[in-house]
Amino acid sequence: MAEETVQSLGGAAGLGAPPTAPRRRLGARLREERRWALLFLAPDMLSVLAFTAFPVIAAVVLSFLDWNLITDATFVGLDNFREMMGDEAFWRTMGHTVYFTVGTVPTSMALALVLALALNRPLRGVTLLRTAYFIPVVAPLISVAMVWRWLYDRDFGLINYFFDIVGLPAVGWLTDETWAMPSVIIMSVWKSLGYNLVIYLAGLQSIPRRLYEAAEMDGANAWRRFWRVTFPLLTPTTFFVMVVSLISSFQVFSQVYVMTRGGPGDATTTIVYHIYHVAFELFRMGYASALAWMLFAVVFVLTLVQVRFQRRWVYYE
Amino acid sequence: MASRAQGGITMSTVLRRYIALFGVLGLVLALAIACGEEEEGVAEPTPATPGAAGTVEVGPASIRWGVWGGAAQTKLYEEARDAFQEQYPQVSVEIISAAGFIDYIQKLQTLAAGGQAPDVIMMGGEWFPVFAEQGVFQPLDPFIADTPDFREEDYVPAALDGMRYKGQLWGLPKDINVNVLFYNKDAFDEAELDYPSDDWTWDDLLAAAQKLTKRSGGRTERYGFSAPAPFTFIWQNGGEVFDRNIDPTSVLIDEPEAVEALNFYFELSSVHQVSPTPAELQQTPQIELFAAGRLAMLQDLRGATVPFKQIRDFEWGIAPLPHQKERATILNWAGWALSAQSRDPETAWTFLRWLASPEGVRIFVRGGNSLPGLVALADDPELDIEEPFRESLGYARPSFASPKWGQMFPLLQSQLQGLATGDKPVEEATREIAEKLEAILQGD
Amino acid sequence: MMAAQRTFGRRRVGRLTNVTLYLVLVLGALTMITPLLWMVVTSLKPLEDVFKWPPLAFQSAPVWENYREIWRAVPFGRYLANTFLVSTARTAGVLVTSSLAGYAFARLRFPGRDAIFLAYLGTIMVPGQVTMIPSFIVMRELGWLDTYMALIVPWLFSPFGTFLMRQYFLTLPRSLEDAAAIDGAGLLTAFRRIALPLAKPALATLAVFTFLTSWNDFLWPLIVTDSREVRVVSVGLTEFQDLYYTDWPLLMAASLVAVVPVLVLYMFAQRYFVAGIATTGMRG
Repeated sequence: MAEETVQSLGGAAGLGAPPTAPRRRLGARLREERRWALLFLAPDMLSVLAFTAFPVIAAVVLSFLDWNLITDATFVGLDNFREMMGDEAFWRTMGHTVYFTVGTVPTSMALALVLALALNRPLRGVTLLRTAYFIPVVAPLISVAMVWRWLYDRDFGLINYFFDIVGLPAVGWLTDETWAMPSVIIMSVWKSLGYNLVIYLAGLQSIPRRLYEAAEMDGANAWRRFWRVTFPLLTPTTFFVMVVSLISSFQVFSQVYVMTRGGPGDATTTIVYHIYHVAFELFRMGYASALAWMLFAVVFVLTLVQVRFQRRWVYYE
Repeated sequence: MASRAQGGITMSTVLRRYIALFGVLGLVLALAIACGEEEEGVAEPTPATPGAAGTVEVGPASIRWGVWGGAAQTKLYEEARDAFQEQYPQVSVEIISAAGFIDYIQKLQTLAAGGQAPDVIMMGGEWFPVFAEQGVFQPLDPFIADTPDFREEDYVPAALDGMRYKGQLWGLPKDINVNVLFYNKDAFDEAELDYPSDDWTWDDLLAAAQKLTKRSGGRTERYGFSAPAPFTFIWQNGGEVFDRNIDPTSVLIDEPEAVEALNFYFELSSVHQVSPTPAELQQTPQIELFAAGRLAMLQDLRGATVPFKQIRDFEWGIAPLPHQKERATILNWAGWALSAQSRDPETAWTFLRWLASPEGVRIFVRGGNSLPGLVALADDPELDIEEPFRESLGYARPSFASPKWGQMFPLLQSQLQGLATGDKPVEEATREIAEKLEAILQGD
Repeated sequence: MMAAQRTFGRRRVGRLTNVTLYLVLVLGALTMITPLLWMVVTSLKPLEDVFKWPPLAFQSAPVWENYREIWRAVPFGRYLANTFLVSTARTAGVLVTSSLAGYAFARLRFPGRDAIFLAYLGTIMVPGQVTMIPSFIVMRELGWLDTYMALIVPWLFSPFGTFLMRQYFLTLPRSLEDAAAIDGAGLLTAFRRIALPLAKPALATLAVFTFLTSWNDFLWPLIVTDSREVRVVSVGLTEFQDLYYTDWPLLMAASLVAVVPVLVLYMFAQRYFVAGIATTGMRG
């Protein structure tokens, strides 16, 4: 029988003691772990404290101020937050961001998983194939954006060229309000597929081969093997990909900045682009901070929810 | 222990590799920093030499100079810096640059917020009131008062006035530009049309554009004409966008003459289809369309001549803009401002003045990118300024400058794009734009 | 019972399915790299041909000169060297800090562990635009502006990296470490000799990602560096934009050259993704 040690856990890894350790060793072990924890965490945490703490605290303070970056800031209490609630642009751009997230995250995750499964075998030229799928990730956005703008061009783009051949009408991919966001989504999925692919490939390595062999021996077909062995043991990886993808898609900025500048109109203006606009085009750093903290709250809650739900579906050994 | 069975590479090997890696990197890092500090150190200023004729008494100093532009522009800035340092060897100038204008603004903002703004700052004309209001710049009037041989009449009035705000002067012109009409001579020959002339009106323009537009299937192979913005059309029709272009207080874009002009402009793309829409232009700039032969005429600045000179496929020409009820074209300019945070404003002022003097201006205009902001240089033989530009200077109106430009500019861009799609009648849409602009102007 | 040396699926899946799969993969790969092909073609065109139709073909002879021009127009070699230095340093730093911290969060028990982890993760949820200026001020205070220090030191750690390592360590079976514990091995030994070697795929992944992120990092270098001596490639690429137009052929050529080091790293690191160190050793 495949050795599936399924231990449903909360937001942490195993809190159980090694089954055979006597009590005395357990206490000593715990103390040892605590001592080492400090050492292991030190490089990371000290760096965080040094370089992240101040900016984050400053950003908190900023959200209660009105500051145009140069002249003295004035304290405005909760005004920024009150303004935000009634700010139509805020809600709209939040909506656009959710639209973007819903479009990119599931798509990218599913495609990456399928690809990882397919590329996780010694096919001929598999190294080249894996490199090909990773190339979009590597190419600089400034040049890639230009290429995509051409692809999407209404009169001379490759996509409309094919549409023309097949008899479909030309679409203003980046100039039509309906199609602008889907176009940005497609480009984003294309650009980030390689990331998730690599993470899934790495994750697939942690699955012991003997589990597949045992399953095969029990007569399980490819589909069964996937569902009973691969998918469950990939859940920590999937969890990681999901959390990280959600965080980064809520913060999408560069693609919009480079491809559409938030346009046409504000069809592709995401929340972070709006924050950038408020901070650096309207010179309202305080209000921008408040907006940023709102975004933070949303993303944090979302992550928290995922962490709590982990229990239900993520298997750790 | 099971560890050794884990495929050859073991514990200490991994750890050793980490240490080795870190060690090597540490060494490289140390070396790089050591070398870096030597090279990037600003050149030591040499002691003041007895003033050569015309140079001002300036002690050893080092100032920072903010500019934007790519590789080609950087060469000009370096040339200017070298020429200045030759005259003033006791001053060293450090160039702070960003390639794109928007990146430059963001970098400038960040530097200023951190108290590190460059002493002399390059800025686009429309933005002077914004940064003056924000406190990034300081007015030049005190320095002008101390400079006996300063004459305002030396400078092109439209550009200089554009940098006045709240009764003070905030910058001197770097260079200026006007819009003219560029056209593809081969395309005109092919369509058996006469080249654009001084007498052209809007009707002539439209007629030619229609003949020059080529379509095949659902695609436009060549557009007839393109202009980046409708403002010149509004003025040519006797209308106005604001009550005044410099530091406007009220909006006039919904008046009949302006609306008529806007109609004409947007119908070029929506009805006659001789122009790409503003959204399309944002994706593929008109300069590139023209160079590829996909656009027969365009309205643009002298800067367009730089890429156009590389065209080998066809001949092209320049003509003044067509007129309707009046002659009008738009004057853009860039200027030099003095940072309010400067620790050595006297030296910065010396440099600033030099940049706006004939020596400095020549360096920037020589390449054919722009026009001089100095009246005297307009007819200079070395600069070889084409006739249509000189003629257009006579009726060029300055572009807009307002402390609220940061809000107005994105609004104008997005709203005007909306006009192009034509879901609303132009009168209604224009009234909405006017209302929004009024709100911005009246607000805080 | 000998471990079968078969690859997953080869016995069950027919040849036809294999071929179809292969075709689909290749087609997909082509879709992925078509934009890159366009970049290659554009990099060899003269400026005026860039926007002509058809785009993937040459309207005039290829301009190989472009690839020499990029080194002359800007100090591109310097930019590449700088970026390489910065990226390598950052990667080394992140590998060390993240593997240590990730292990602590995954395996070590200490008070407040989960809360600290969540808070730590929270720091990446704050948009950079608002922390940028305070961070800039920190650099100013430290005197690191316009030096390699500003480009490297604040990035020697990564919450993403720690998260990744933590997740990966969690997938490793505890049995090995427990066995080591019974044998009397200390924690550091368990980490060094067992967990870390097993985590090679994750380390390779992290190395590639960190290097890549650093290689393409734009905004931070833009605001903390001024002089060309410390400029990085991403900022350098923008120099091919000029006041009134962008020199697309040169930009594309430079971009392609800039892509090469990362691709090489990726191809090298690849074998660690599939190092096949899926654990066996349940004995002992």
